[in-house]
Amino acid sequence: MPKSVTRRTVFTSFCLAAVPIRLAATETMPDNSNRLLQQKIVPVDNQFVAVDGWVITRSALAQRVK
Amino acid sequence: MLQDFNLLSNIDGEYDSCIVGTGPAGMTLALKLAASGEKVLLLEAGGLSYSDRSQELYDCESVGHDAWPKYTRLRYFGGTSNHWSGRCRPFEKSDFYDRSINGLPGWPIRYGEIEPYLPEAMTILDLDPDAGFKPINKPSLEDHFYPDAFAQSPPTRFQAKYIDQITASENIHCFFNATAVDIKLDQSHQAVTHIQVANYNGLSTPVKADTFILCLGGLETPRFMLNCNKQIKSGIGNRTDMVGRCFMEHLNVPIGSFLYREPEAFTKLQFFTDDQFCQSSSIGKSNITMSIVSSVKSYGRTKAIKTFFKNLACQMQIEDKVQFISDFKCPGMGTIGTLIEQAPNLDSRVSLGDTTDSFGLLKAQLNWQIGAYDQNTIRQAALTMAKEFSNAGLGQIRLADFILNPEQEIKFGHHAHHMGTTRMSDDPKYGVVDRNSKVHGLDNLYIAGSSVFSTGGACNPTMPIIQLCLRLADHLKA
Repeated sequence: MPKSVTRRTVFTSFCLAAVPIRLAATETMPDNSNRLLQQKIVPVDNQFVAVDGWVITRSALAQRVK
Repeated sequence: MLQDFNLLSNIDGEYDSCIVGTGPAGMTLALKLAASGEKVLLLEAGGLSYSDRSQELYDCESVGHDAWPKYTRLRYFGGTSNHWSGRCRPFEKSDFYDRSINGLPGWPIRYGEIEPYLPEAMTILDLDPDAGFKPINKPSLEDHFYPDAFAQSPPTRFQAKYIDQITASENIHCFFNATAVDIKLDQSHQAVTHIQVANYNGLSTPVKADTFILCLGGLETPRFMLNCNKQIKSGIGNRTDMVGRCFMEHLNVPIGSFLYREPEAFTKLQFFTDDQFCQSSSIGKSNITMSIVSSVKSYGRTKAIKTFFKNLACQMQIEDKVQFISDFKCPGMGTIGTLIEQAPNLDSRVSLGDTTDSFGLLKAQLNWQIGAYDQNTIRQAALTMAKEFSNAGLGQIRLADFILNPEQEIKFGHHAHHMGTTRMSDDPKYGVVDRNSKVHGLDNLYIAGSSVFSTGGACNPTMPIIQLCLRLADHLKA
């Protein structure tokens, strides 16, 4: 099989496979407070929490939940 | 004078000093002592360039955390300076304060004893002493982190820089392919009479000097001393069983990533932990570097494919799961690098394994361990940095799960800095060399290099190694 055809085939396969994955993920991806609640929240201290690893102030978390 | 010991049958002559090892420590000492009129014998076990045959002799078994002991040092003329990165930073004054960690004392000397040697050390490393050490960023983070200052050596390759000078020197007799295989003590076991040196052809000869200085690095120095066990079973300088103990590295911990407030304006940030913070929290020092990797490392069609997947993954927020395609970060995302001090720990050690090398010496066995003190250092530094980064309005830090969850095992790597295995202490119970780098209990055996570090701070070790060598040279001349 010619080399150029192989590369094109591989690239096309990647693209074709990626599009439905992206669409599926976009449909199921929750947003705003629902999504926030599904993330892992770990208290750091009385001022900070970690949301999915991101260290933010408790007040910032409260604002996002609203 | 520079000669290949493979082509010779013996090394004649009487020398003031015999220096074993031609890395930054050995070469600095040789040049300094020779300049003062001393006759110096300088020994290099490897050749003038890299060879698998020589490097194979650095084979070392890892039984603890792996620090890549075979590949992180180089066994030929110039030693590990042949591949070091050139990053220079002196110790902090506070590194030399009185302190006790894990029941072990810190440095017996004060920073003021090596500070006068800083300008000369900078010159040796091709740095401008007048330029000093400059911070790469301005903002401090509240009270606990300040902008780190360092200087970048070209980096200095000691072989390239000094081989002509050593070849032309009348006072330095340097032999390569000359492996030190044994140390012979006098009858009272209080002084070294000679070191036995072997070449690759199976020939071995004694070399004599008034003073002997081992400059073999943090792994090979203890290995050699432990192997010299014909007269004293426990090895040379090992009466208190301290040779090889307290192996320290600088911890390279992937603590997380970050989003900067103004990604377009970002270059790099580097912070160093404040000493008050470290003391009050009972933790070691940390050097934290933040940088953004935005470019995809490939070209042509491959780059197009990788860029496509990068953009797709970033939009879908699944970048962590597709890193196998290409090492990238999403726009604005940065990586955090760390160089964290490890505390001395008796259980972290170099000892002898069961197999021998081609010279009949037992290979080293490295059992690198980190303890609760180190884990606390990592977690405290990372959490405090994340909070202060947010408070300063610089952006947000996303910490790794193992930082936030103390039950998870911390992931860490190394920086190829081998320290502490013949540590300095006034009390032989806690160290191998005294405050002058002389081996306890022996009149004329000294050690130079990072193996004498009592604690490692959070700076790259080459600069302090040079400072300590210049200090030792002055001591020996006196």
